Amino acid sequence: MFERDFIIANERFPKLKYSWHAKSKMWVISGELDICDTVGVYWGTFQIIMLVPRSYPYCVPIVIEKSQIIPRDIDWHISPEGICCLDADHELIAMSQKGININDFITDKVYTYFANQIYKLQGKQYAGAEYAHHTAGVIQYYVERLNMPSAEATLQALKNILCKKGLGRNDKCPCGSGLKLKKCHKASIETIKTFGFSKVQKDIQDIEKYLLPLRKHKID
Amino acid sequence: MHIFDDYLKPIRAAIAADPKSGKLYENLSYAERNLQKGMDFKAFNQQVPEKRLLPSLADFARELGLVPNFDQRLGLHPDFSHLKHSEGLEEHYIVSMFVDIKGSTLLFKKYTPRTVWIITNTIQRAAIHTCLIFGGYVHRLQGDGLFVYFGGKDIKPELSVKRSLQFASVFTYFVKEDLKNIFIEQGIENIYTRIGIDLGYDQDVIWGMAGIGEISEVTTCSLHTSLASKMQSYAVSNGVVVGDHIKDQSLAFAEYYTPVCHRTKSENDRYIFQIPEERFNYTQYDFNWLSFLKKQDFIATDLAGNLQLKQQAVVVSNRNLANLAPIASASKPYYRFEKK
Repeated sequence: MFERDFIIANERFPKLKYSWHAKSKMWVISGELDICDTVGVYWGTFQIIMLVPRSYPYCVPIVIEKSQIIPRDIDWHISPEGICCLDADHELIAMSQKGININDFITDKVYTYFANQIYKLQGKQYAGAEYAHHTAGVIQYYVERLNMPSAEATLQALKNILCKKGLGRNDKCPCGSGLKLKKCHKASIETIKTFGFSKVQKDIQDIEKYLLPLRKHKID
Repeated sequence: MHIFDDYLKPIRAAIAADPKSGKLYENLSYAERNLQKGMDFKAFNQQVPEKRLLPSLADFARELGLVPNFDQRLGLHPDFSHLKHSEGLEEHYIVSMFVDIKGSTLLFKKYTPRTVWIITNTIQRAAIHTCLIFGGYVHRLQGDGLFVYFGGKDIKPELSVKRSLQFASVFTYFVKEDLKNIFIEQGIENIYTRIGIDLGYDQDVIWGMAGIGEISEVTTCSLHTSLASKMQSYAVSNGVVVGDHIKDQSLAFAEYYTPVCHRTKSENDRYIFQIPEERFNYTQYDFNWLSFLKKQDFIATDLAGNLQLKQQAVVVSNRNLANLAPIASASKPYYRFEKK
């Protein structure tokens, strides 16, 4: 399946090639990614590597920038080793649960990420929005993408999911709106469920840790 | 790619001004009207100068860091010109290429001979200019097409082969994509190329004078020059067929070669030439020039799949960050890594 999908991706990204890495059981896509704008003007080329687990299409490929064009700085959303943080983990996990298509993934996530890096290199800022780092970014994801009203409401929803309680269609929505779940955050809850037990558990821990000083400050 | 944009202009102008089918005559500038009406050579030369690349192609040459050598004469390869009027013969490798431009006869159905003259000459000049950029030598003009050599004393066969493939790819793209658009607008059948390329090594090629007195040229006698011509006739519309030696000399591009018999489904087409008693079987291959072109350093493929010239060596007039924003703003990056 991967090989078939890659043939289509290769039409659009002809300077990428793939090989199977038996030891790590991954497909390794490597090569150049040329970035052009909407009128076809060329802006730059990145040397990249993509690691695609054999569970493809149910996976999140890891993208590494090898050309060292992007400054290795937290504010450029790239690790010191060049691993690119294309999107919120949760968004990528949700995508992987549905199954990705490598052509769409490169088009929608990888190409846009690198176009955005060029935009920032040239214009000193990103073209669109970005997530805050670490836990603040996780909360931002829940609020912006899943429409949770606040960090507290997110925490409550996550706890309900972890304990599998209060998730009936006619139960009150954990966001605190007073509405029934089916008329409120039903879809968001279903998305969160796909993240898996450990991710939800970690988010609860991280968000609680994040909120602790804020709560203390409130009490004081 | 916009490499040939400036060569398309005179063709468009000539078509629009053609009294047989043109509709835009009134909208043309004085100079453009002259091109059709007066139809003197001077007007044409102003539009498409003989020894000067038009700006779009000149940018392309700059991008490649190549300079065309206009100082050439038909039938007299500069590295072998000493053989003219001599009794000498020389063995030296050469890449032979036949570029056939088909379909131009159909133009007479729609346009006056003067318009056809402008169209075919502009295409031929574009071909010659492009060939010169890639270091080719135009040995002979054949109707609307060309018989071209790549190679010489100071260039290795491997690079000559690469340059010949680059020329074939760029020119075929021009005819297939850019010219197609013009003729589709006009509702007429397309013009297309067929190209055959082969390499003869030193021991395969004799250089010498052919003909008598001034009715002569310095040319090659080689199986592989003959085969290049023959292979051209096996090419599909806008196709390129090459011989075994070309493949052997460009193994890095091996993925772009497919035996012609795979296309024709006839095993008879596998070999373009055989000497059974010597077990000499010479294979002909379809060359996937588009895939080859897409991987060239000077080419980028945009999100719509169109080929774009990188233009790193020139100032790009329409370079505007606002055109990158619609793509870039779709990204919303995050950072999750903890400090080690």
